[in-house]
Amino acid sequence: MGLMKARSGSALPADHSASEAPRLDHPQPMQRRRAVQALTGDPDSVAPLVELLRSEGDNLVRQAAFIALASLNSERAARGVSVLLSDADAALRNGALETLSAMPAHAGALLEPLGRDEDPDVRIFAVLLASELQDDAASTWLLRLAEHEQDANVCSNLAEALGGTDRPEAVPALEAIGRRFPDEPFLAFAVETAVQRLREA
Amino acid sequence: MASSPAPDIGSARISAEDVTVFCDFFYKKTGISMDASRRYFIDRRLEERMAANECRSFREYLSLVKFQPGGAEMQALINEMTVNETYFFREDYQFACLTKRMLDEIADRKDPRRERIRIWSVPCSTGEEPYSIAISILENWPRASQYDIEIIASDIDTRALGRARNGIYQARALHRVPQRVRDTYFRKIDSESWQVVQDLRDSIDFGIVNVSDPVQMARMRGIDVIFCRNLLIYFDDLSRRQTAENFFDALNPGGFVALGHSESMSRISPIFLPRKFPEALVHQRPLA
Ligand SMILES: C[S@@+](CC[C@H](N)C(=O)[O-])C[C@H]1O[C@@H](n2cnc3c(N)ncnc32)[C@H](O)[C@@H]1O
Repeated sequence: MGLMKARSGSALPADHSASEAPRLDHPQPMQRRRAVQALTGDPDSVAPLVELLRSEGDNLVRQAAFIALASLNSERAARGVSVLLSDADAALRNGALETLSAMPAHAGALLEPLGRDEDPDVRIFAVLLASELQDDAASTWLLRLAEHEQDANVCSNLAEALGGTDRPEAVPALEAIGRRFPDEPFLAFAVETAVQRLREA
Repeated sequence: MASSPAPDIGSARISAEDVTVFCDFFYKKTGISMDASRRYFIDRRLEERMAANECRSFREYLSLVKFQPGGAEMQALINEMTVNETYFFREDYQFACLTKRMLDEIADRKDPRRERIRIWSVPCSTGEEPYSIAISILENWPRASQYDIEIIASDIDTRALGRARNGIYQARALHRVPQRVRDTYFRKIDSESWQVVQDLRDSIDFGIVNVSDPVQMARMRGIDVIFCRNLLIYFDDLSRRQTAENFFDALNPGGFVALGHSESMSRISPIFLPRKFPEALVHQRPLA
């Protein structure tokens, strides 16, 4: 028959590139990925990995870098990754959000500073992060932001996020959002939906 | 004096905090993410292991698990905690996809005189999956005799692996196996049980692999097809993503991964190409 017992412990096809020391600035993506993997677990890798991510165009290398950062699961890693939430590249911002969600113990502390960022896009990512985290502290933070947020797009994300919490006390803040933007019909709808979800929950 | 029943001190010895500490430790070792909702299951298993080792406290037991030379108790604990549910020809549309599509694509890129086709069943649990793969290939892939094909079968659970190597199954476990196939690849050992024929047992390389152990995973290279079904459901997002990365490295370019039907690679990682064949959706490491 065609089935053969695997040669246990036998030499596998040699990986010739493996003898070269991996470098984050190697021209070949697979080599950069190896360099990223070699940094896994090193607490000092946050800065070089974040820097790499800013310029890295290859998706495979990016994924490996985000995973290496997430597996550090530290305050330093969370802070480093949060900087990418304001990057111009949407894929990078989404990767950063996903990575922060994988470190809930450290990402929660970042909501406060992110919520004060001047860039409304960063505040939107903070809102998305808070709804990923799904804990009490995060929903309290959402509530507080809803009380004073002045950007309509951030508010529509807030409405959606608050609607998914179990915090009926958010209803007044939501209704205040509706009053703050009387000329934004999409917000009125978002507020109404959120209020309904909270009342039904 | 009337004897009163022994007080049930078992559950009192394991606190909610102990369970959290344990889940955290177990997750780091295995990738398996357990939460308090499985408290009853976890407590029961821990109590049994603590009693078997005559440990008086959870702390004492945890340090045994962590520091025992040889790691026998860690292994015993893993064997207790894993869910080994599996059966012959489970989700067999994927085996049809293997013999109708994937193997031909792979074979076309190989020189049969020099190169083998390597298939990895991980986790293999008690063996039903790798044996089903082997039988499907022998029965349904017309080119099987032209190629050397290796099937590697791995699991973290040594007790399940022992049963897989023995290849003895109860008659009712074979209900999905057509009678002709059963008579070809199994031999009846008594009224209740059948054993996989020796040739077939010998052709599969069973061994222990923890997919969350980077050192063990780094040894797996040059694979053409990975069946990883009903494992990632027990993992959290991060361990799933790490496992996907490790599979990518284990595969040859153009190699395939098949996951269980409730597991979706698109939600785990974007590094594979989805390949939609008529029989099944599988995931391919890009060729270049
Ligand atoms: C439900 S069975 C799946 C068996 C088979 N693939 C199927 O789909 O029928 C899950 C298996 O995963 C194994 N397992 C759990 N964690 C593992 C890990 N980190 N590495 C390897 N195997 C693991 C368990 O021991 C168990 O046998």
